[in-house]
Amino acid sequence: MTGIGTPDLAGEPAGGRRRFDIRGLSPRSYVIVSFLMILVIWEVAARTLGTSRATGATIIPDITTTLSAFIAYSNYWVGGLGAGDTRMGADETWWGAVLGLGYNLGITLLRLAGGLAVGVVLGVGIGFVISWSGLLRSLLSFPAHFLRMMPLLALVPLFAMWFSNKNVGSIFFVAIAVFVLMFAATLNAVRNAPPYQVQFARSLGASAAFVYFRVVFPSILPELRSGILLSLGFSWNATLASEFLGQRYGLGAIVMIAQEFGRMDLIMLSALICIVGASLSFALADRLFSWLVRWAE
Amino acid sequence: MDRPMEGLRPPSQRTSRRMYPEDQLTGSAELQPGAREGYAIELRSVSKTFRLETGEQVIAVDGVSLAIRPGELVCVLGPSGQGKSTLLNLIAGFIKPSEGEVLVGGRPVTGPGPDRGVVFQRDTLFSWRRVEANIAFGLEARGVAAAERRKTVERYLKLIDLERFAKAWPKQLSGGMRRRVAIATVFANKPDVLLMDEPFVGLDYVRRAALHKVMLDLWQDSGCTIFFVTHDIDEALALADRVFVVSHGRIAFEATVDLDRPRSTEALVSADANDLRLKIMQSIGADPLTEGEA
Repeated sequence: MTGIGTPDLAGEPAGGRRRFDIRGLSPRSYVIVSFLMILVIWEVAARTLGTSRATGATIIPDITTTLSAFIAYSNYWVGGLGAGDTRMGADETWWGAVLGLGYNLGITLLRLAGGLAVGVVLGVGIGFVISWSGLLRSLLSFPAHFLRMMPLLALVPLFAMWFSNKNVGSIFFVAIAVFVLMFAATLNAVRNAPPYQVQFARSLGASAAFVYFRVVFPSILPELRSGILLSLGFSWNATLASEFLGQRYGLGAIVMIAQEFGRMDLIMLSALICIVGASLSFALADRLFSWLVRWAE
Repeated sequence: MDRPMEGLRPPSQRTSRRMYPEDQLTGSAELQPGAREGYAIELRSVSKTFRLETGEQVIAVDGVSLAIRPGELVCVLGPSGQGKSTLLNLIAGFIKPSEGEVLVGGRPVTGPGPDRGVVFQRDTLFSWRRVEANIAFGLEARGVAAAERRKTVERYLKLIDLERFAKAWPKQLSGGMRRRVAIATVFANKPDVLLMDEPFVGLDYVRRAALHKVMLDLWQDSGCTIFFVTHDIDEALALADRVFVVSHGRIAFEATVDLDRPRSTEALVSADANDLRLKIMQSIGADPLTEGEA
């Protein structure tokens, strides 16, 4: 409201000169602009700071070097489907690189999906069953939150010792990371379940079990959304971490091997692929979850 | 803090201002021994005390006795925090009386049950169920067969005029439509007694009048007993067979509403209605504009 004596400061002077205004751009153009900015910064950084003055080694590879490192993925192909195993003397080929990347990325994704699924199902399932008893829920809330503080990445060597390089080690590791998160999230969500809906259901003749599984459970789903998305991000970290130590295949294993050979370009490219993969999986999970709770207000 | 305690005064500060002597309260003429079996709802010297977090005791309901006949529509009036909702929660079985006995259909109340449907002031629809599945909730919970469920749901969708919204999610409905669904959900469960806790608060006059009609139609169709809590005197006059005024946890006034149904706007502003309106207002004790001038 503009009262007497309060000039309208927000008003634009009439007839002002039109000039380019960045605020007029669409959200999509912001994305493009920021993406281009990152590319420019990257390239400038690579050319100015990219080489170590002491050793002459590449620290930041430029964009073209990074992209052309793709062919090196053929070194991580096990051979077959028209592309040989480079460790047996076959040449690096683009087709081999596609197969090599597909194979290792596939393994990483399987470990991630397996660990995530096991962790979510067990975390939500056990958290929900335990929450049946208010006493147990209160008793376990503190240890659950305490466990969330556990520096899980520090335990990777332990898992490597327990499971050597078996897939189950990676899956178990991711599952534990996710379990801890989802367990705490579920305890919290059940505590916040609206009591009046429970009363309504009881007054309609629903048994305690019916209320718990058919009213309380669906009502906590929207609140688990952030927990699940957080778990997804965390399972990318956990999967790659478990592959750094004690795995022969997978994107994380490639990064470790590339580091040993000083292939900064391959590390950079693998990191980019992880970013793209994680973003896509995040968008997919968000969509899926939105559909699952499409009724939520 | 729990809602029933809102605005209550500790016993020490409670004024014992009463309009009528004890024996004239609550239709106690109907409480003769031997006549009790026939009541839909009966409260026998019911008291409910809450303990505040401060350790202070608060009496929300103070020795209330009342009896409601089957098929009767009773409105319980009074300002907020005077014990109306506590009375309803006692009958619903959500809370237990500190003293006295609550009987529904002649049986003592031990907990919530499908014989007593409750429509809350809050929106209680199950948002993850479509409209038709909401109406079917009670039937499903009690194990009614799918075919019969479908028939009942169809009937009630028609009665509340929401057939087109059978497949809608609750979030797609307006406030008035949501109340209609909540009421249909409770009626579809065929309770003997319906407890309504200010179910139409926050709706404009026209919507509220439309919902009154829906509710009265369903009531006459089902023949159930309704215990309707409101703070709106006009609403009580439009709906009730009998009104109770609750003040400081006691029944301060009780009267039969002798107006023909359906009640037209003219009937609701007639001399008889206004006469009763005045008595109710006086019993509530609210005359803030002239307070201190007397």
